[in-house]
Amino acid sequence: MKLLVDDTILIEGVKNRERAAMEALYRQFAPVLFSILLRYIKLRADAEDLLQETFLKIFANIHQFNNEGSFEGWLKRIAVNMALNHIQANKRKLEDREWIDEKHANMLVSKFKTSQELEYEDLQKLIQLLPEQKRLIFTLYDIEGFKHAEIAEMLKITEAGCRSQLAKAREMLAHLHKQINQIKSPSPIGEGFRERLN
Amino acid sequence: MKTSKLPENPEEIGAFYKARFQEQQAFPSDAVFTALFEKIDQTENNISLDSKKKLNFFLHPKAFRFAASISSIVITSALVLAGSLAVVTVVYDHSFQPQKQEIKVLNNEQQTLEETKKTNKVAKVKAVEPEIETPKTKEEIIEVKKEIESIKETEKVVTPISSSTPEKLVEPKPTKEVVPVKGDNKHVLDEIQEEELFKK
Repeated sequence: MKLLVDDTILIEGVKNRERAAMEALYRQFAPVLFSILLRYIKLRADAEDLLQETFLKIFANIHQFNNEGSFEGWLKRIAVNMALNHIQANKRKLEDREWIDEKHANMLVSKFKTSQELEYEDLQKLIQLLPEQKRLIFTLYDIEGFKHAEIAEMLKITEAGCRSQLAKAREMLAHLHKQINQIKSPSPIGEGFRERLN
Repeated sequence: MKTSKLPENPEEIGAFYKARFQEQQAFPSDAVFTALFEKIDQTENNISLDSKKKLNFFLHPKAFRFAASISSIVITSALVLAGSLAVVTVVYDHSFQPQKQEIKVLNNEQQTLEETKKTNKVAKVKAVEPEIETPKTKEEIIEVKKEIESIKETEKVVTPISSSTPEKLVEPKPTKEVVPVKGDNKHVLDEIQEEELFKK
C-alpha cells in the first residue's frame, strides 16, 4: 500500500515535469527495468543505452498511465517493448540459430567448477545460449509471465509456433543442465564429458 | 540465490528460472543517469526556447508587418486565381462546349441542309415542317381572319406588277369587242362612237 501511494506521488510529479520526481522514479525502477533489458540485450552497453531511451519514453508517455493496474507492470511492459523493437530493428545483425551453438555452450559449461554454485549471471549466460527466438519466447513466457497470445502478437508468430518454440527452448536448457550437473557431481560420465571438451 | 543443482526436467525449468529472475535487479552505471538527465534538461530548454522564440517573433512589429505582407500576398493570389478560374470557365463554356449532335431546321428554309451543317457546326441537320398554330377560340379565329384580309389588301396595293405575270385584278375587262381600225373600216368606228354618245 505504501508503494502504491509513493507511485501515485511519483506519477503526479513526473506529469508536472518535476525534476525530483523524475530522478526518484529512475532510482526506484532503473534496477528492475535494467535487469529486464539484460535478459533480451546481450551487450551491457546496448542495454544501458536502451534503458536511457526507455526512461525518456516513460517520461514522455506518463500521461497515458491512467492509474488502473500496476504501475510497475506498465513500466516493465514498456521496457520489454523497447527491447523487442531494438531486437527487431537489428535483426539482420543478430544470429538466429535453430540449435545451441555447441562450441559456445561447451566453453561456458567447462568454466563451471565442481564446487562452484551457479549465480544469477551464470543462469543469464545459459539463457543467452538459446537461439534468438526461443530465448525471447522463454523469457517472455516463463520469466515475464506473458501469455502465448500476447507473445505471438509481439513477435508476429502463431500461438502454436510460440508453444512449440517454448518447448524446444526448455528442452535445450534441460540438455545444458544435464551437462553442467555431470560436471558438478563427478562421475565416470562427467569425467568423460570434461575430457571430451578438452 | 545460488544454485548447486539445475533441474533436468523441461517441465520444471520455467518455474526454476522464474524464481531466480523475477526479483532480480541489475544496476546500471551512473553514466546512464547523467546522460539521461542531461538529455531531459536539453529537451526542456529547447522546448522553452522554442516557445520563447515563437512568442518574441509574434510580439515583434516586424513580424506583424511580415505576417501582413504574407497574408496580403496570399489573399491577392487567391483573388487572381479565382478570377482566372472564372474567366477560364466562361471561355470554356462558350468556346469549347461539345458540339450539338443534331439541330432542326424548317423545311421551307432556302439554306440547304449541308450549308446549315457547316454554318452551325453540327453533326446532323433534320428538316421539319413548320408548326402552325391553329386558332382555338372564336375571337382568335376572327382576329386571324382580319389579319388575312388585311394582308390580302396590302398585297393588292404593294405587290408590283410583274411583266412576266400579268395582274388580273388591275386588268380592265373589255365591255365590247374592239375591232382593230383599219383604213376602210373607219366609218364603222365613227358610227359606234356616235351610238355611244347618243346613249349617254
